[in-house]
Amino acid sequence: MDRTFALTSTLALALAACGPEPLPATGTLSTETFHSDIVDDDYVLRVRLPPDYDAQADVQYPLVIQLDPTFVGLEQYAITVGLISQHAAEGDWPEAIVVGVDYPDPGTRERDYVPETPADPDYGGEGADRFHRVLRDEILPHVEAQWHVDPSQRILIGHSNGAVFAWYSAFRHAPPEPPLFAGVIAADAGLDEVLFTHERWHAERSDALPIRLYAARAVYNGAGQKIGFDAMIDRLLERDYQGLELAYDEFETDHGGVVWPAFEAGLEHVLAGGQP
Amino acid sequence: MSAFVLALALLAGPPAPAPAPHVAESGEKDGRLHLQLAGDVLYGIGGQSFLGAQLHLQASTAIWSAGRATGTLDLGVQLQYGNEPTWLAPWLKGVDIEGATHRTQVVLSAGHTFHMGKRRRVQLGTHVYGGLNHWLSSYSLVYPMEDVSGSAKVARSTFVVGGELTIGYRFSRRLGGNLIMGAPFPTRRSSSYVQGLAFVGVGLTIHLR
Repeated sequence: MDRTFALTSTLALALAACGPEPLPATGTLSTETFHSDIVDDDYVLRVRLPPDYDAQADVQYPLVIQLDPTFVGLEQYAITVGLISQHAAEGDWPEAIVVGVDYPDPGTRERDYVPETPADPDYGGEGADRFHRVLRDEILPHVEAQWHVDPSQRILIGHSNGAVFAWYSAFRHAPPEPPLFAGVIAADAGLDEVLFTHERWHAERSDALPIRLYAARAVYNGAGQKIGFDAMIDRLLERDYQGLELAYDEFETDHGGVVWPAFEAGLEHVLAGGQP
Repeated sequence: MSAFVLALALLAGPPAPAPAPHVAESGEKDGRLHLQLAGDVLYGIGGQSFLGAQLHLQASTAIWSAGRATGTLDLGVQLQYGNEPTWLAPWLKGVDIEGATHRTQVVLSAGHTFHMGKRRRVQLGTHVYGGLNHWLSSYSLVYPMEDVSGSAKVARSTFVVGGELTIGYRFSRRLGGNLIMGAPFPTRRSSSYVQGLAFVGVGLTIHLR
């Protein structure tokens, strides 16, 4: 089902053109190229540092990793940066560093975000398995070596196939290690069977999932997506994982229209709520 | 007796021809009200590709005429149905999903048509439409390895407004063919998944009156 959203992203582009402009960004914005030895390819890191970052040398900030920063004009990075800028300025949320993990060609995301089928129980495959290694072993160490990040407050945010990867990443938690991301926001994913497999594998190794998890779907995607979404939410509620703080919504909109409201509600859940 | 009937017939002259069921080929603005029924098969994009059909009953009257063209004011009612089957979504191949998305629209239309050519056989019409759109998404899904299965329906009824372009040709007194292209007007409150993004169609037009 997730491929549905990959293809309908073209339609989402048209819808995005009808959407509101992202809120103004505060702080400092920069871009850098990052080479990954794991995939032997370049990423484009879009970085937003909070206002007065340089004057607050002793402050460690939450880190928001934004997937699909610029894919098909949906402006996900700009939306997230604008939301954090506004809500932090109003004192609703803490300030945060935002890093959009982009590509010279944003369509390269198809290589990285989707879990392989059948899934590899050793997580040694390509696709999401490999991208998880890129984040864990290359990008996060690089980012945290440069900027004042609180590693216990990493947040992953994705939409569409980016949300597929966000779900996948949540289920990669392997105690006693802390979760790679303490907050996960998955907006409008198609929940393929392989994601249920990764969830089951997690349940077989732990009864804890200490993550603040937010999931959302767009009602206008229809009944096919609803079945998978409801089944996953039901499964998580039945597991009753220790430490899992789950919130979820359905929005009366479509795949492109859900980005802003889901990101805002998700960031409210993971940022304003503090650590689980 | 038969001679009497024959005499009457001769006195009355030949029977008057029935009025044409289309705009006057002579180009005159005849003041008549014409009726036509168009039926089309459709292909379009909504949440994904859809196939469908449309019936459009339209009343027209000439409002101007020039050397090679007559213009009519048109009012009509249109019924459209579209179906998004899973087999038109190749990315669902391998996913155990059954069902379809259905879209039904009942709208009123208004617009103008140019009837062109020496006998006014070529038509170019532009119309706006507005009415009710009913969207129904109905699917069942099975993930056998993970013991996940279910079925669901999601439906919404909304208002839709859009525009349509029609190109037609009248083959004979009663029958013509047409090509149509149409799309709902996007608004901040509408969604292409629900109201559709655009459609094209081909069909026949019957000139009724």
